Amino acid sequence: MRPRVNHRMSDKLRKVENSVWEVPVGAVEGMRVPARFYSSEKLIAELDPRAIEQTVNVATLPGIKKYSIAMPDAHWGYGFPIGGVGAFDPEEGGVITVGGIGYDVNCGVRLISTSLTEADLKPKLKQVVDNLFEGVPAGLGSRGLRLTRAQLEEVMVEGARWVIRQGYGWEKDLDHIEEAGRMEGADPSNVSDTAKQRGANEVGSLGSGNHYLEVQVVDEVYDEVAAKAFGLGRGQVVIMIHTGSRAVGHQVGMDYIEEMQPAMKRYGIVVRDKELVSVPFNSPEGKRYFSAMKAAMNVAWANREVITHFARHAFARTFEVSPESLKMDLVYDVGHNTGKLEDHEVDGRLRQLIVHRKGSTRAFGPGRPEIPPEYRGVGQPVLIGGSMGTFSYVLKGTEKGMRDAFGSAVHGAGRRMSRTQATKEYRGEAVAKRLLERGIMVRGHTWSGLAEEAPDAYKDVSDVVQVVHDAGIAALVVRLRPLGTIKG
Amino acid sequence: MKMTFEVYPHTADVGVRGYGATLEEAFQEVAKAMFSIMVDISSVKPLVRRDVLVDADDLDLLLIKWLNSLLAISAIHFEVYSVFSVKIEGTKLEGQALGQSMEGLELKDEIKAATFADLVVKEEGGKWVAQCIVDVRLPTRRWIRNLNSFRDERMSELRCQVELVPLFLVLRGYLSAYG
Repeated sequence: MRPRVNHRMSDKLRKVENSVWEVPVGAVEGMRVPARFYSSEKLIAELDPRAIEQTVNVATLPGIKKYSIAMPDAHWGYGFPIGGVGAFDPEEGGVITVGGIGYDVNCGVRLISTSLTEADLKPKLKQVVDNLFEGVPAGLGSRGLRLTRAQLEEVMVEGARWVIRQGYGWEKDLDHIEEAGRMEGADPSNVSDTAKQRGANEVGSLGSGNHYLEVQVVDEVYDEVAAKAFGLGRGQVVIMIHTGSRAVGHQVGMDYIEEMQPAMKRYGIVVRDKELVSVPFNSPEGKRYFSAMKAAMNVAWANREVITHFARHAFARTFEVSPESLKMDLVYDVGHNTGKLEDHEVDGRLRQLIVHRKGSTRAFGPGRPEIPPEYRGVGQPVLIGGSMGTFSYVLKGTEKGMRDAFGSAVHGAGRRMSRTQATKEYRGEAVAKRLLERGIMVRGHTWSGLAEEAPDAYKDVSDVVQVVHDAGIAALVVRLRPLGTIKG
Repeated sequence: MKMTFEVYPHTADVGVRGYGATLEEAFQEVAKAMFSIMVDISSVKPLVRRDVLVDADDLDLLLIKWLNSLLAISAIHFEVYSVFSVKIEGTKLEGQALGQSMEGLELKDEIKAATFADLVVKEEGGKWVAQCIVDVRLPTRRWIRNLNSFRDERMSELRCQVELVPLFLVLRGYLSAYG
C-alpha cells in the first residue's frame, strides 16, 4: 500500500490546551486513541501534513494506550514520524513495531563534564579539536575496536559493561547510563550473521550523518538546583556525544521489518503504512525482535562508552594531565530511538507497556527508581542535542511528563529541509567559515556532509525546547553553546 | 539513450526507480539506481560476482529483500556493483551482482536501508516499474582510507574469495593461450 498523503489532515487538528493539539478519535477511521501534538502556533503551522498522518497511523495500532504522541520536533519518518511516541499494552494485544524504533537503534546522546572553563579552553581549542578529530574514528565506514564475532556477541549481551572491563571507560560511568548501559534479555542468537559481520569493527566509531562529538560550554542556567545536582555550572566546558548502534541497528531493523511482513498477515493486523509493520509484543516474532533490538541497544551504549574513552584521552593529551584530574565524569547517557518495557499509570492502573520512542528522549520525572539516586530528587537529565552550530540543552523530567507523555521529550531540532535541498542551498566550506566567525570550530570528513547538516536545514532547537518546557513535560535546566564540533 | 533508471528527490531522503520491459529488468535497473547513489557506476568494473537468493510472498517485499541483500553484501565485502541479472520464479528471486572493491573509487552517499516508503512494483502499458525510498547516510572519503587498515583475518578470508574471480579469469586466459 502506498502511504496516502492527505493534505487536509491539518484541518483535523484542534488545540486542546496550551502547547497541545489533537486529532480526535473518529477523525480518521480506525483510530483507537487521539493523536496528540506538542507544538506552538509557529511550529504547528510548519508541521508537515505527512507527519500528522503518520502520528494518526500510529493511533490505529492494536493495544495503544492514551495517545499517539508527536513531539514539537516531529517530521516525516519511516512508519512513526521522527519525534513520535507510542505505548502499547501487551496484555491487550499491544504490538511492537520496527517503525516505532527505527533503523538507528538506541541512537542517543551522552554528556561528559570537565573542570575546565571556557577561558581555560579557548587558547587550546584548535589543539583539542584536532586531537579529538584524530582520536575519535568518524565518518562513513569508520572503524572502532576490532572485535571477533564472539566478542561482539558479548557486547550485545553486556553493553557498556563489556568495554569498560576491557579498559575503555570508568566503572562509575555505568551509574550514569540509562539502564546502567545494558538491556537485560538481549539475545545475540536472534541477530543475523549479516548484522554481526557488519558490526564487528564499528564499536567505538562515531559514524556519519547527523552524528557528532561536540565541545560545549554551559552558557545559561535556568534551574540552579537541578544544574547543581547534575554537576553543571555556568562557564563550564562539557562534551556531548551523539551516535548509535551503527550498522548492527540498521541490519536488525532491515531483517525484522522483512520478517514481520508475512507474520503480520497471520495475526490479522492491518496497518496504514507498510513501514509500520507490527506484530503482537507477546508473539514469537515480537519477542525475537525485542531481544535482537536490545542487543543493538547494548552495542550503542558500548559504542558511546568507547568514544568517551577516546575523548577523555584527547583532552588529557591536550592539557597534559590525566582525564581524572580534569574531572571528566559522565553526567548522563540516554537513548532516543528505543523500545522499552516500562511501568506507567493508565486509567488509574499501573500497567507494563512497551514504549516506543523514535526520535524522542526518555524524560522520567522525580522519584522514578530508574533514575540514579543523585538525580532522583530532581528528575532525570534529559539531553537534547542541537544541530551543528546551534545550542544544545539539558532539561529534567517532570511528573506532568510522566502523566501525559509516558515520560518522554524531544530529541533535537528536527529537519526542516531535505538533505538534497540543503546541499543545493549551502556549501560546506561556507557553512564552516560562518561557524568559525561565530567562534565555533568545525571539522568534518566531507564538505557535502557539512552542507547537509547546515544549521538552517533544521527547525530552531530553542523553539522546540521551549514548547516542551511550556507544556511542562520536561523543564529547562541549562543551555549549552558549541565551541568545537567533530562531525561524522 | 532511453532512461532505464533514476534517482528522484523526496522530503527526507531520495527514491530509486527502475524501468524495464520485464519485471526482472525493472529489478535490475532499480539496483543500478541504488548503487548510483553510492558511486559513479560507470567506473565500477565487473570483477567480482556475488549471488543473491531471496524469497517473498509478494513482489513489494521481494524488491525490498533484493535491494537490502545487495546493501548487506556491499557493506560486508566493501564492494559496489554495477551489473545485475535477476531471475524471478514464483516467490523466489535469484540474482547476481557484478562489481568491484570500493578501494580506489570515489564514494558518494552510504545507504542505511531500502524502505517500504513510496514502494511500487507494477506493470503499466507493457512496461514494468519498480521503486522505493532509500534511507541515506551521509558521505565521506574516510572509508577509502580506512580500507587500507581493514585487513584483519576475517576480511582477508573474504578477500581471498573475491580475488579468486579475476584469478580464475586470468588462469582461463592463460590456459586458452598456451593450452
